[in-house]
Amino acid sequence: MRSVRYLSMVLAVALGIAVESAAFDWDDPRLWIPDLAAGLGLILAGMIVLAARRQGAVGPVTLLLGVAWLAVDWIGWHRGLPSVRSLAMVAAPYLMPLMLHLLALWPARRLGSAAMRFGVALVYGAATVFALGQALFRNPVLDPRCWNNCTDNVLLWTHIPLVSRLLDDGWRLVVVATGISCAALAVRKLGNTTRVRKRSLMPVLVPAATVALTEAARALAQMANRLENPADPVFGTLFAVEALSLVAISTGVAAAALRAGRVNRSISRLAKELGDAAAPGSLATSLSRSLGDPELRVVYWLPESGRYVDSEGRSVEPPIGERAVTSVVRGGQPLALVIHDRGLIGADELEHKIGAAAMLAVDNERLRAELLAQVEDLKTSRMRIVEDADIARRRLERDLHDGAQQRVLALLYEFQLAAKAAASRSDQAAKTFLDLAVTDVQLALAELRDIAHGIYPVVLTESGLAGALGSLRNSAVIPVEVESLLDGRLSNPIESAAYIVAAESVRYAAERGATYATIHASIDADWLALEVKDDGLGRRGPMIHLSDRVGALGGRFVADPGVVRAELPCG
Amino acid sequence: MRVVVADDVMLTREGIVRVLSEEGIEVVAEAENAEVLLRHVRLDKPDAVVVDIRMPPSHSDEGLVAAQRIRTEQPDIGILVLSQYVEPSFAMRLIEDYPEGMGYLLKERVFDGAILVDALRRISEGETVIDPTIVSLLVGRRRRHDPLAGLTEREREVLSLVAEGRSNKAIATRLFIAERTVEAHIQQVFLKLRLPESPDDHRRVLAVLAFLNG
Repeated sequence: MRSVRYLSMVLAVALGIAVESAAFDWDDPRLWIPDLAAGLGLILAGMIVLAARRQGAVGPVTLLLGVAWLAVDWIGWHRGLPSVRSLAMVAAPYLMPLMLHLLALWPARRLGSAAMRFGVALVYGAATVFALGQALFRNPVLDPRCWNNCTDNVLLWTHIPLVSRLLDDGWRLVVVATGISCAALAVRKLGNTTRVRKRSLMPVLVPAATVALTEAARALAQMANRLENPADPVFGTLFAVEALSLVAISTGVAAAALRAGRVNRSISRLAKELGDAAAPGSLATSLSRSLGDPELRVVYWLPESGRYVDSEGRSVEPPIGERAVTSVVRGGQPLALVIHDRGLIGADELEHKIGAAAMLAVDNERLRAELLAQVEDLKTSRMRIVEDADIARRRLERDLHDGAQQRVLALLYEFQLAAKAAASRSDQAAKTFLDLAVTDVQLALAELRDIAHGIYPVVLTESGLAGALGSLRNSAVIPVEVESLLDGRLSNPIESAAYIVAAESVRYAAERGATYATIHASIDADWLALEVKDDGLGRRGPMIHLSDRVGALGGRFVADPGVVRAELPCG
Repeated sequence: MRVVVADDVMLTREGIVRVLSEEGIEVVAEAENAEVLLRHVRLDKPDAVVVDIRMPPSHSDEGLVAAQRIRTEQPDIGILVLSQYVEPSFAMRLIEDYPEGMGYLLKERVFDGAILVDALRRISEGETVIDPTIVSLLVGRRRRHDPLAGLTEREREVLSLVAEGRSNKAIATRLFIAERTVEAHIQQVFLKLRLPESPDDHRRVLAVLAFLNG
């Protein structure tokens, strides 16, 4: 693509130079320099816009403007091929519709309204009628008013001077009308906009309107029956103004395209930089690369908790030993330690190398490490709270068992002895009373046992989660089916959490009027998955205590209507 | 009958010893933990041991572990495990390998001399003893598709007594019916529950408990 672009640029320059030598013979620099600059400038600007893409019709229109402008010169190629001159004659009138088109477009890529499209199409149509009509019905040799194209017309069908004359006059009217429309359009566009936008519109709209007006002025001059001659001061001035305006247009169009490209590039650069935001630990990586020490480490000092952490926030021991330690200090406060090879670099030099720019990275990473360390602390303390609660429950169960239950058991023994003694004394009243007491104590024992089981089922300690889930079926108030694919034991906190999720979910199911619950437990890729389904209808509470417990162990908890799902890491 | 009693709580241990003595059963030794129990079992060669499920050091299932040791070392010694847990899986663990002469009794029953002596007698005769509370928990468990719904009241009673480890003769006495009627009921129950028929009393306890706990 790029080579095609360069090639066409070379061709455009060659074309321009050829045109100048053909039309002006390099005689008068006041003529050929602005002429060539305008034509080449437009072609070049059009190519720049095309190369930037995304500019819609602006590129081709600008480029064709350049071609149409240079076509006038080809018409006057005295020694040239008649066919080229004839074709140039057809091309030249399109300058006017192209100019209107550019004005109507700028700065958008496409024509906005249907009326605008219609107006532009109308002028293109008029130019086509004029150009083809002249080509078919005008013989320049027989035209008394010809000045630069008085040679043969290869496209000529038959010479009809009246048609040629009418077309000439009609076209001039069209040019005048278009010129005035262009100026009005430019004024309207500039009037309807903000100041900032005006600044970007003016470089194209003002010269474009000027070109259109000079074309109109030339048409008026021709209507006043003046022979178009470069030596005529009116036409000379019009030529100079038009050429310079065209140069201005090409500059404005090209500058806008280049500016848009620059904005695009800087945005994508910004996006890339944002995307490349330093990853944790990258400071150590880049330091170790620039120092050539693969074992280089950076640790950060957290003054609040008085310890060192790595870039991931994990606590690390303060470094001692063979490796050199350079402290990164700011305002007397230690920020970080760089642990590196003693031989590679001195501490002073390293400090110098780290420099002010890297300080920002040190700060960033230290803040991040501090946050991560705090998150890690929170996680551990949360897990510790859950574990402590489990331990407390187990201790409570044990205390109940070894304390209260034993006492009540002794009481039962003593009442039974007393009842026996009463029976042997035939003391029926005392016997009845003591038998009642025995029954009460037995009830108390059963209740105590239920409470202890509710606090912490001992089967969970003895037989693990599978056993405890099986035991859950005995104490549940609704039918519970257990599908356990568990094999072997898991850690205490995981088993406790899973059991509590199951037991509580079954309890909630019963509260919500469920007629049954099914528990499914399995392990997949070091994750314990526990699912409790039921057919209860009422609304389920948020079950925050369950989700907290599962979350504390790094698990996931979801409670949907009719199904509770907990996933716990057990690797 | 010569018995060794093992319980870490002195109060309970003393109570059991006293109940047994009153019922004319000789307590040859007392132990406060599993280790001492095993030593006495080797030295004194008792007919049966009464052992608490929960003893030092870990206060969890030491009694069950000790029972299994005794069973492998001296298979003819009867073992009665006392427990405060109404936990069918513990009872099943005790009897799963060798149910003959094994018992799982809730602790609160042992101060009733009649129950304790009855259990020890049944164990020494090779029967299995499962606490009625555990059986009624299993029989009464709520089931979504209850296979027990197809049993008659009487069949249900027979099933419970079978699960407690009682012999046909004992069941007949308990229900005031003929032993042959008991046999017929048992056959019906096994048929309805699609259990493989087992002539061996001990194996049938296991089969029924496993079915109920399944």
